[in-house]
Amino acid sequence: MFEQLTPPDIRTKSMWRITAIIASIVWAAILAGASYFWHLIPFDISPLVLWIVGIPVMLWLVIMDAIVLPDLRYRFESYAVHKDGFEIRDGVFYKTRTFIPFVRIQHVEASQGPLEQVYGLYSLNIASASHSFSFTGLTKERAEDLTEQLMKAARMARGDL
Amino acid sequence: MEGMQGKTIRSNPLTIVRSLARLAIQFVVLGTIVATQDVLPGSSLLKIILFAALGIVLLAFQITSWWMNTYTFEENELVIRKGIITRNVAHVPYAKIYTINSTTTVFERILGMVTLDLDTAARSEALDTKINSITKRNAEAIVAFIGEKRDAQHSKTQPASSGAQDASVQENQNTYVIRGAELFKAALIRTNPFVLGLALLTQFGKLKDLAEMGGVSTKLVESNVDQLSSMLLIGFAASVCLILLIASFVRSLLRLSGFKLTSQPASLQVSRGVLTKTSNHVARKRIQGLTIEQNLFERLFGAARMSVNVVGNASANDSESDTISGQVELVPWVKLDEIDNFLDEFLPEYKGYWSVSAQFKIPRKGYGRMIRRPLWLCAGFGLVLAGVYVFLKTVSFTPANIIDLAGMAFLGLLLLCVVLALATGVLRIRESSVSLHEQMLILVKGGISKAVTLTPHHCVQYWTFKQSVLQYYYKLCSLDFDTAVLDSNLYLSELDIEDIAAIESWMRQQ
Repeated sequence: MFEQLTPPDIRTKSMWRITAIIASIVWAAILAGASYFWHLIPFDISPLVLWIVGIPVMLWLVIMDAIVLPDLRYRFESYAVHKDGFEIRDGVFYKTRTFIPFVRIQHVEASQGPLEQVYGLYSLNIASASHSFSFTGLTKERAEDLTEQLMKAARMARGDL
Repeated sequence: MEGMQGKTIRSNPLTIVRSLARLAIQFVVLGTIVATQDVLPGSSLLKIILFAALGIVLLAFQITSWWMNTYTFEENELVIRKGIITRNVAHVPYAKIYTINSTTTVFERILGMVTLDLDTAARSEALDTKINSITKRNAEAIVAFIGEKRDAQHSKTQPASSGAQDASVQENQNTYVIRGAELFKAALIRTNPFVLGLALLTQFGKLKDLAEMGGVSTKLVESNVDQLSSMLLIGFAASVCLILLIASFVRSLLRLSGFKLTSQPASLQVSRGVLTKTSNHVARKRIQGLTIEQNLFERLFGAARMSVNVVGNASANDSESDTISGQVELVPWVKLDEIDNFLDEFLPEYKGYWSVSAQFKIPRKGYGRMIRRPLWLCAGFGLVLAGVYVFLKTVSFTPANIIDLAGMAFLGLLLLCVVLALATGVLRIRESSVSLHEQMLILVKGGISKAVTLTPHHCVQYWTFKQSVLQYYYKLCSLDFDTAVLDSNLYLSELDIEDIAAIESWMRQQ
């Protein structure tokens, strides 16, 4: 029934890991800053509260987001181009499968964030009249290819070609 | 009508007076503070000169702003120019104006003015397409002119448009008016004292701040509360509830009075209201679906209300407008056995679908999840209530009689919630369904409030199937359709995975 599902590029896993590590560093900096200025808060609460909340969040970011989840996410994230529409699958604990008929695609946009530029990867944003969908981890050739393919399919579906 | 072309109009100059009146109030408050608190250094004469200068600048700003806000009706587009420092020029093609809503506040009615809100599907906040406070004659001319231009542009882009169909609708111009007992019942079921109560509470908060600023000690109030007996408290609470209830009913009655729906060839016109009159023109082409809703009271009366889901964002921040979330109410009150007759007259393409027998229902394995979910919410609510009760008990200044009253009220509230949750769960299981009939997607959401949404297949933009870990175990799935309407809310959970495959297959075959 479905055409073959394609996962993101393998380098995406590494990119997700780096993103999680950067997030944990930012979180650690916020915690350190908050504990430094803790005495300015006009309540008599121990700064221990900060670490009781902060350390589990940091552990989650490092263990789950940087080590465990990228592999799982890579396993469940994929896309497929069908004859009548584009399908995106994602989610680890809550799986979603979205189908956008070609005739409903308004525009397609390839974008690159700072980390994606380092890895040479692209994100594809597909906009319908009501919502925009994004798929990360595409090589430059694949992103260009998909953009052209989807826009052509959208034009054909609308009868513009 | 042709006279509108090439014409540039402005709001009524009297709007400057309104803006100045608002400014004057702020000025008086500011002046009083400056005069009494001695905020500014210098002599009294200097202060007066400063204030006079500021007043002149503001007056000049208002007049310039009025002069520079213009609406020009070109051949193919409306050009809206706004702003003094940041100049904003919007070119709105007539074909992209989907609905025209007119609003008349009490102030405008006295001066014979109308505000028109032109609705395009654009989601840009920078684009303000309101034509503020123009004369009634101008407003009528503009509505007719835009309608004519829009139809002309549509017929250019869609030459195969069914003129015969338009003609048949033209012949069938119908009007629906609500009055008498129906108006009374419709206002009654919209009576919601909580919304009004919350609004009044926020106002009370402001009054309290003002009182404190004025040196009125709240200690006085607290000491009086200590002495109040339980009966007095109950009586006070009941009186407040009754007043809110009556006020809310009167508000609903005023909003619904004069409700009139008129069917026109290319649009539906809804007008209503007594103090603030609103009028929405909904282009038929922008209608993305129809929703028939019933709350508990409507179910008891065997009635429903109907609204259309329309693409657009007009007056999304306007509390007086019905177009919030893209919904425009068509009928505030209709008997269930009259729905098909009504649809035949106003929206014939939707006739007969709302009562088709359910095709895909929630399977037996999903029953437990459907019942448990509202009960979990109840458990959460119970925990919050318990927390508040413990807090009241630990805080030293709370009188004992208030704690006892609160405890009983919380227990009653929790029991009511459990009963409602169980009823919601059972009704959801019995009534929720998805049906695919000809070109129509029919989504029924059961519960104490029931909603039937009819969406033509071509209006669905995309669909998503969602599955949590537990749903994966039970082989269940949630279904989410989306149309171009903001927050279309076409969502149903706990459907069988095999039904989902059948639904997707139908969607892709269309």
